[in-house]
Amino acid sequence: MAGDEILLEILKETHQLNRLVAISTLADNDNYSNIANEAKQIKGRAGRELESLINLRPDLIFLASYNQPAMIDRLRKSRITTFVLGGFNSFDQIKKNISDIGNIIGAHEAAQKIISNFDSTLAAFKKSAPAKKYSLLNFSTSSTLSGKNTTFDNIIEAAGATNLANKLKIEGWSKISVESLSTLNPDYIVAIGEANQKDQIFTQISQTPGYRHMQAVKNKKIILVDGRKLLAVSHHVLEATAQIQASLLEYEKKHK
Amino acid sequence: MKAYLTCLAGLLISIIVALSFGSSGISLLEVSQHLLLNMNGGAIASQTELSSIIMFEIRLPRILVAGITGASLAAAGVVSQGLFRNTLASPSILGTTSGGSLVAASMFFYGSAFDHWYTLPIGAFLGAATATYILFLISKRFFGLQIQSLLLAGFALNALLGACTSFVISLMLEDQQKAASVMHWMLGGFAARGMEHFYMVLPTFLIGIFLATNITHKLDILALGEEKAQTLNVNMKVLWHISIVCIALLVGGSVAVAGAIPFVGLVVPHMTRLVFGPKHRNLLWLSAINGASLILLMDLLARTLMAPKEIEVGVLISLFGAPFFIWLLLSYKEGVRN
Amino acid sequence: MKNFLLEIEKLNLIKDSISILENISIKPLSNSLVALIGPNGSGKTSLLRSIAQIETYSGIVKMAGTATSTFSQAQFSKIISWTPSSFQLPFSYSVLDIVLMGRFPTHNGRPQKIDIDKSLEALEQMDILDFKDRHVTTLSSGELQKTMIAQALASDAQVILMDEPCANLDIAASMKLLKSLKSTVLQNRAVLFSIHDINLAQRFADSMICLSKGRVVAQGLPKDLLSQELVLEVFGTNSDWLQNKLGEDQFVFY
Repeated sequence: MAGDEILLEILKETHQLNRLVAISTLADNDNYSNIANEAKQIKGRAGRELESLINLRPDLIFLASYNQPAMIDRLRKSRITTFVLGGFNSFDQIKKNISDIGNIIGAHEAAQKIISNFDSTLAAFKKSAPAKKYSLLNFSTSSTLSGKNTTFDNIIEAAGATNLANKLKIEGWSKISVESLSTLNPDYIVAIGEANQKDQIFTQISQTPGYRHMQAVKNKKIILVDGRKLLAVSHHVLEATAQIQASLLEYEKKHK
Repeated sequence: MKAYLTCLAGLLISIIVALSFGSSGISLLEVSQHLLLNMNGGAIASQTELSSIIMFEIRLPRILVAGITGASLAAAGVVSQGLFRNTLASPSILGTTSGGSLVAASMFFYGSAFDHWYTLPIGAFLGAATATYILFLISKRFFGLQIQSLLLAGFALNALLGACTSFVISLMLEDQQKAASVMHWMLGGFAARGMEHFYMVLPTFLIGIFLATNITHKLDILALGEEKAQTLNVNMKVLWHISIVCIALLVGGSVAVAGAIPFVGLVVPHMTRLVFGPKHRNLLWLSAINGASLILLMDLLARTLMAPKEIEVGVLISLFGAPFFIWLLLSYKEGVRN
Repeated sequence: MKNFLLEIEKLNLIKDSISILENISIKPLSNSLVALIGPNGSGKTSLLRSIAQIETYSGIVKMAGTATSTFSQAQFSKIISWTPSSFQLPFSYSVLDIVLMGRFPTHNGRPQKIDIDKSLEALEQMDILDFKDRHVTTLSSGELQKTMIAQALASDAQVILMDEPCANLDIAASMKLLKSLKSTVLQNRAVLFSIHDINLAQRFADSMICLSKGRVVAQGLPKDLLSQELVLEVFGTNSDWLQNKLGEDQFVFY
């Protein structure tokens, strides 16, 4: 999805959307994709099946880093220029991907524009940060916490809060024991969901071991974020920060 | 012999069908008309060049790998069913597949699966071979190479390796991409396979089937029982060793390039025996041919049914495997009633 | 010096620290039909298995004048044939294929005309020539037993061991079998078989060996061996010799 979303954004900027010959099949899924609507404008779909991919005759393919080397080899041997994107576990990595993609497709300026928008949005978040630095923790039914070197960590920091998972010195995503989890007491819990699912999600959290005794649950301090934003691997990730910061500010106002 | 002609005809048809169809719509005719196309090194200049590339870089290598994998698994199945004197034995009994899966899962976890194209296949093969070897040693050391003991030890080893593999996978569950990659591999398939994979699995197939061919007559005698076979000049120790090496090579090679494809080693020999008889010399080769045909057709479905998505071949085979067992159950009941 | 087909000296078999066979010595046998009798657990099966080298025993077994320990597996398999009392055939070979397997030590998987001819002969001897193309999985237990016996007869073996060959056969078939075996020994063969029907044994066997609790209790002609005292001691039943209407001797229990 990283490639799809970034490419779409850059090519929209340069008014060259017709250069985008195909996007991944996941782009149509509006549970995960930030471009589900716009995807309708792009004709081709690409998956792991190589014949259909090559048949599109792309000049360039962007592959995610986690694809198997055999696939990359096959594409290169088929004389298709293939660029493997870097990771997307932090804002810096996302910005690098945007920059790389922009440079490769000859849209350096458009990419830089997106990146500077990104940075100025971050600066704006800093200015409007809540008065207090609240501690946040992600909700996971499998007690998998997002620690350092995850976009989640960056999202929380950018919103002007702290990621409580760092207290346990977690790197990346890590499943932790229920005991360790219950030693944490965040000010707010961040969960994926829509506003209309608030009650459902709250019930779920209050029944999940490790979380259910947290003060945040007792005080109903749950922040809901759109999953597509929270788990985004492109510039869309900042919308999650926006949602979180907005919720924090709202709660702050209420309890003044 | 009629049986060979029938099966070879089936294989030929499968090959032609597999070569003729693909999600890109490139036809065999199109390509064969431009077989001697002289290609220059730059970007793809024309539709014809594209057809050739798709055929020779994507479709043909994939078909070759698929065919040889199907043949390997079926041949290994014949040897296991002969060794264990059981029409429902499967070559995965010896822990070969689960050994390969454990190493593969570990390589995904540590990331070495993403280094080069060959790291995963080599690792998987070594895992498969090691697991079989360990099984062999355990059986020899503690139970004296009795077939019953090999069977039970195989179950135990499979359970253990399966548990370890689940554990390794569970460590990766947070990293969705890694977890997805592992699942794709474990379901078994031929996406992105090329000639290098074919050259990798070719020697294991050739050596494996050569060894298997040499023991076919002895496997027939083994059907009379181990002790009776012994009195008929079948050296059980040697037969054991060769059978196990055979199975390790054939299954190991196939696991290396295709992941954990289920059922083929059980279903193909079983059905081939029902139709063409139990004599192992014929059964081995006919099963190999039929195994190749089956996988070719399954792979054709895998790469065309939901293009541009890929269905794992293992999934399709499992979908066929279930009805097979039901049919088997029904025909068994029929037989019992008769 | 005539080379006897089978001689056994001081054969002992111990398994799991239990003595199964003790000091078994058997007077040398030439071409003859020898019945091995004894109650259940007396060691008949173990003795046959030991001679066939399926069990590891101590002692000397000689065939055709040479100690079997000096034979290679290939040589040994050509000289001896062993048929167990029961068999589980997992695959549906044809009857002829199964009988041909009996000659495997000779043809190694590539049967020649002579192998096929001898197999057909054996099938005829056992009265199942009509079955040659039938699948063994469709046979009754009696028919299967005949097939396995034909397999033994088809071989070139000079020493034929059979564990309860009459087990699944009716009386007529049993009598026919023993007659067949009697004629086969004329081709320079020794057939040693275990049997429970002692009367049947004495009618056809050239000599008998009686085992009890792992030891040889008696060996000799049926007339000499079968006495009331022996039978009472070994089997714990009463017995007697009677004559039937045709003046033939019958050995009966009561």
